[in-house]
Amino acid sequence: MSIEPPKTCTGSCASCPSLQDDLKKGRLALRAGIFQENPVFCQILGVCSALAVTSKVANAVVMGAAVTFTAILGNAMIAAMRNIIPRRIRLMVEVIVIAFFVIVFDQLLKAYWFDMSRELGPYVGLIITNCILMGRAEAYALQNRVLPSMMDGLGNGLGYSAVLLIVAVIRELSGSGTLLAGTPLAIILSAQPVSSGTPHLLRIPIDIAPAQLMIMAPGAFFTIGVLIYIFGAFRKQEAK
Amino acid sequence: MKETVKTWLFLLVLSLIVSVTLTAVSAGLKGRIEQNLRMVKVRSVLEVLNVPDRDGKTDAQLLALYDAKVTTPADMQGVYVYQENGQLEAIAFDAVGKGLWDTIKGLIAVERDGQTIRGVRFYEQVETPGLGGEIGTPAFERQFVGKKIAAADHVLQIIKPGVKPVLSDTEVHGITGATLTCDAVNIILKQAIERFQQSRKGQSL
Repeated sequence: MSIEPPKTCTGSCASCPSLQDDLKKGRLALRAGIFQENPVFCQILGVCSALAVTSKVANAVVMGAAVTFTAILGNAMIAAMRNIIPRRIRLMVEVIVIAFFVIVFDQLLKAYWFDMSRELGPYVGLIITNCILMGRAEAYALQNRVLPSMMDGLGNGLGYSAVLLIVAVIRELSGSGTLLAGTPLAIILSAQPVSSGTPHLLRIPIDIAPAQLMIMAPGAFFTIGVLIYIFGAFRKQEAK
Repeated sequence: MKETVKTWLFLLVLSLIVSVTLTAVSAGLKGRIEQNLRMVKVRSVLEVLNVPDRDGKTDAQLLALYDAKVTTPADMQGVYVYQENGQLEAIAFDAVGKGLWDTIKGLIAVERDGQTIRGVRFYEQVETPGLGGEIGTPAFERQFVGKKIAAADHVLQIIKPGVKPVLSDTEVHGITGATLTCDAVNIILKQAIERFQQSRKGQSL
């Protein structure tokens, strides 16, 4: 098994990809990650965490940010090393790189947004096992240059975040009757005294009992299942 | 052979770079993280004891308030005594134990009589968000205020909602869908209250 020598780009040779090519390729990957090849809806990857952290919108947003952060930087680092990574241990290398960025994010969260770090508990650390990240490293970053790989990471991260956000809005609204409970944004916008309970942006009138099922695990299954069906039906329609 | 050496070398260098960077990040943020952990405890003790004038304070001001009003007796582990002008106001004690997923850390505060609950606060827990995690919400914690830590034959406990129409002085409602967490909290409450009662025997507090 031979290691491919790094390609050297000097001057303007026609076979070497330029910045424009990179951007063009990256834009395609970005769009594919969000829409045509959305990791959760189409590749059915990362579903476990999409089920776990979507009982509250705030948690979903931060979790989406964490995955996007790791996907961009992890893809970048793997793409930068793609020509020197020994093939036999490439999976190990991918895990090391992903774990590295996840730990950095986890530490930053612990230091600068401690309450959210406590709220998410073990789920930030569990991003290491999120199939989206290894999937993108393996399927894209190993074959592509740094810039398109980063845009691919961004696309998949945003695609994942968008799903989390949709599911979380549905679940928090129907299951708890609130929106964005406990976030700084809600504290500022709702301007209610902290003593009157967890601040939230919106509360459904109290005489409607929230559907507790929705914040429990089955609620997540139903929501994601229905959404995957709707998304799939749309794609089929479009393909015709 | 050459291939193997290259592979090992690559792994060694990568691991070295990654671990050195992580150590640096961890060392750089350690102070902040420890400060955050300490503030959670300080804030929780002040909250559960309901010490006045703590709203809108910075961390440093809260620490000063804590040092001025709260003392920890050397011979009573995990007990926090709140005094106002040398007068006993309330006592809080640790309630720590195993939850469903990880350790639950909480505090129970009682009034001067040592019986009536002034507040309960679960400040560190990683129970299932939306279910067992609700033990950390004000709505759950508020239920405890005014209850007693113990009656003649049993201590404070959480019971399933809907089982009893009227709750006694030592009962609060549990959380639907979080039976295991509630069971764990019951054990924590029982142990903490018994330890507190034990340690108070022969004490002037």
